[in-house]
Amino acid sequence: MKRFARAAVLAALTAFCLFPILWGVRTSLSPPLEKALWPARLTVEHYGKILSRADFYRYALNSFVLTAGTLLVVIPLALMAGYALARHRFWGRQVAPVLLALPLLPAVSFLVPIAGYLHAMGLYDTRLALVLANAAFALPFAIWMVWNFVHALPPSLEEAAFLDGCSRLQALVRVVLPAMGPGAAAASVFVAVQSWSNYLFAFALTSDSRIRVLPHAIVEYIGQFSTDLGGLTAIGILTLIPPLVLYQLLQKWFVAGMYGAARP
Amino acid sequence: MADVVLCNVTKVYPPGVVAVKDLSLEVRDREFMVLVGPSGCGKSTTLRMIAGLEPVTSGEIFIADRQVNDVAPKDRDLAMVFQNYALYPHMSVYRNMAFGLQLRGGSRAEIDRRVREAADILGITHLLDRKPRALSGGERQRVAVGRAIVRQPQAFLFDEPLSNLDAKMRVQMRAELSKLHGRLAATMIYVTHDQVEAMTMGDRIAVMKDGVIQQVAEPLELYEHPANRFVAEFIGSPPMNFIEGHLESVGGGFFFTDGRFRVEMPLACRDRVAPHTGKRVTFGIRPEHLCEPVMGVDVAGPLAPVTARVELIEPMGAEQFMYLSLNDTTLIARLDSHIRAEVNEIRTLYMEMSQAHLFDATTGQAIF
Repeated sequence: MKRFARAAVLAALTAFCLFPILWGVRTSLSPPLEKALWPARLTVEHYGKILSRADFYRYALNSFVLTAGTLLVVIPLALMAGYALARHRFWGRQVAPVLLALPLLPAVSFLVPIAGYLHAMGLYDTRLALVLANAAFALPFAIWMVWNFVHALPPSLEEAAFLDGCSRLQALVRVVLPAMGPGAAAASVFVAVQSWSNYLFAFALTSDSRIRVLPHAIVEYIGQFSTDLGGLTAIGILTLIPPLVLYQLLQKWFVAGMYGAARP
Repeated sequence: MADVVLCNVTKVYPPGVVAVKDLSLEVRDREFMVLVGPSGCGKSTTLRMIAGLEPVTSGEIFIADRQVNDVAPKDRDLAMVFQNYALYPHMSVYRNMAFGLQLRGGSRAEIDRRVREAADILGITHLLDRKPRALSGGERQRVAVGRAIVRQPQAFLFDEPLSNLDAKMRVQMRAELSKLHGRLAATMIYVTHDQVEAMTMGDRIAVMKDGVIQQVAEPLELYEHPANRFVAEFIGSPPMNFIEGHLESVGGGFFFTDGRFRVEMPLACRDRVAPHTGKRVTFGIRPEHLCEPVMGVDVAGPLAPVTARVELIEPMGAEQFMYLSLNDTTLIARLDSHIRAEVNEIRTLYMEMSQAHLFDATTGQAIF
């Protein structure tokens, strides 16, 4: 009885969490104006319509470029900063836990100064502006994740490398960095998902449709085709796929990285 | 292989915690030296200073007559086995073992030959393609040892390498490491908190406490002639029995007494005992030197009776540990398992006085 009750509660929670996605899938596969909970027939016409639009591919490519750019900026910095925080004692290190608080602050409150700043630098309405803004907001948490991970790596790993004949740099490159793989993977998934789905910066820092990213495009679609629920949900589901694939690919490392599980 | 010499080495951690104090030690070429002591005694710090992982605050360290204080770990030509093995998680066993050789250069064929030879010695040839996470604790330990021996360094350093193994595996690896030392004829410095490991493996043992070496000696010398009360207590299991009291001189003889219990000191030690007359001392006797003389079996030297109440009996199979309550002190006797006794029984055992010890109660130094 207890097991049944537990299963029921878990099932209800799962349904609650998955409902928006399931409803999106249902709507994207239903004929237009379908009212029934279970549609009488399924159709891929909405997907066909979205995939036949040239601008969809441009937006998707822009999103990929933005995500890759953000990863390229954030991950090397996070690896270096996380390692330094975990392994070295230096002045000012005590304030590093503030890193954890930064992601909790609402990004919208910094929007005006960021927009002004980027404008002054002549970067407004460029891809670089989006990469920098996303990177700045993803970096603190990514550093914290790597820091946590390196903290769980035994220092004797580097010491063994020293005695094996490594210089400090060699030990870092040949032993520590490869061992940091799961931590880097976890941070990458986090950064990629965050920058892939970020709408706020795209909306505030760009207006040129040639550099528009998918989340921004979805909102634009809502403005243009507010009655085409099938099409809107189809592009939403298509936008969901890359983060899901990425997570699936790095799932094992992501979990290990999140828990700082540095198994030898 | 080489001598490792430490001269007046001191290590102070900020803000002034002294971990190792004015330590001097000579580890001879091909010697198996064990550093033993309770946790926090500075033994691991000493080993890490030899390895170059901790800078020396003052003093000098020599490896093969070369002062290495400012030499980086990679240039000291030492190999170290860590307590948590520290195997590189992303490398196979083969690459873990070959890594140090690759860094130092050398032909691929030579590296391969040495890795396979070391793997063969340790019986891990079948594991060479595996990653460390796919190995058991004992296997990881072997790989860690393998990684050290492929290099043929000046000396091997072991930092509590058996602590993470279960009891059975520990006994097995202990014997294997001793055999390995015989086979490689290498200088080895081994840190442990386990006195059994120290006694069974070391050519010589350095007992440490509070960053200071208490005594350096061969295992039996340490056991039979401890320099002070700490060494007497630390080495041996069950530990030596101690009774606090003072020395008195009566009719030309010297007696130890705690007020109720009284025993005459051996004649041979009179000269050493005499200056302590009237002072507080600690009497010590090991559990195996409390005996119940069996008819027809000779015991060397004089016997002194001690009568006490039996508190507890621990049968160990081949022998038994009998806990006896003497006034306020508990004595442990190691007796043949066939001797029968009951709890709460009043029992008289005999102390082999030729094996007894006496320590200055203030300084802890051995009087005899």
